[in-house]
Amino acid sequence: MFDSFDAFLSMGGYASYVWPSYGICFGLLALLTVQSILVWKRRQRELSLLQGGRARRRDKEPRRHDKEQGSGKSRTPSGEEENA
Amino acid sequence: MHRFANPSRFMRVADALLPWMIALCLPLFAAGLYYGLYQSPADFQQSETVRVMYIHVPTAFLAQAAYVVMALGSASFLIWKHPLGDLIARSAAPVGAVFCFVCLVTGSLWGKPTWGTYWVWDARLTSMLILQFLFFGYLALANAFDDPARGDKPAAILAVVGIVNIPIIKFSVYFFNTLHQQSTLFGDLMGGSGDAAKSVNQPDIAAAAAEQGSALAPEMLLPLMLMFGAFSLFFLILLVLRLRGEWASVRLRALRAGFRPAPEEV
Repeated sequence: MFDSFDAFLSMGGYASYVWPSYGICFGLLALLTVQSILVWKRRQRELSLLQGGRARRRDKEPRRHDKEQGSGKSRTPSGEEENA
Repeated sequence: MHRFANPSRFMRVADALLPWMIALCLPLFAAGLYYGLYQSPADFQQSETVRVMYIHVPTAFLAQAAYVVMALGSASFLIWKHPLGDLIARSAAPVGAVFCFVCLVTGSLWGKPTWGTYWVWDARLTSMLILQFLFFGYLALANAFDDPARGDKPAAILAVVGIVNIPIIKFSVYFFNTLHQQSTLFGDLMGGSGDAAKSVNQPDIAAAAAEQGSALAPEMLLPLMLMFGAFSLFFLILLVLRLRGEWASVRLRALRAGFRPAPEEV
């Protein structure tokens, strides 16, 4: 517990140890979170591009199996990126 | 249990749990930071530097937990060829590496004012540094090949072999002479609660440990537990986020190799 905001910031004279610890911790974790999301989004985009291309090709000469898949509720992996 | 060894089914469950984990994690962090940085008292010997503990101890725990997850995933991949095991190991590795790095840096910043040095080559610090290199080694090996699937096996073997380091980290403060203190939180694992404190002639701490199971004052125990919960949830959240990326890249590779995408189950 601190008497004032200044006392809180100075951390009893140990500000240069306490604040960098918290800064590095949450800074790095934030970077990792953003990077993880970016990697996922990029691969998801590539995936939907590839799958989209294949789906179009398949549409030209539809087979029974593909029709079944298309008419079902979005149970394919591509269902995810349709929502995104 | 084997139902969930299927990656696409596992990912559906993980995706459903993700919002709940985020909703629980954020208030835990808020409360943990409030109690840890502001509401809890300063240590009578360490003054305000003791506040580093609220991130140092949970990140140290989670770096080791991440390694255990990585090793178990790798073992299941090697033994049963579960593709999910490899996905989990690949997802846990970068998260563990970051937690380990945060633990080392915060420990260093805590060591300077309390021990008088940023670093010392003793058993606890060195074994933790080895854990960091095991994470880096795993990541390097797993991504060393043009075809990432070829890195699966060697990386998994490294992860499984490296698990010997985990008990070494745990017991390094009991077996070796070290600057690092023994566990305050769980008393002394090697000889009943309180022996650790007795051995350094602190009978009051030993008495407190015997009385309440932990030698840590309740005002410090609360923020530490809050931060333990928050960091653990954050670890799981990061694991799910990375799993999504790894799972997407596996499907991507399968598509590029000319296979049809697995619609529901493989």
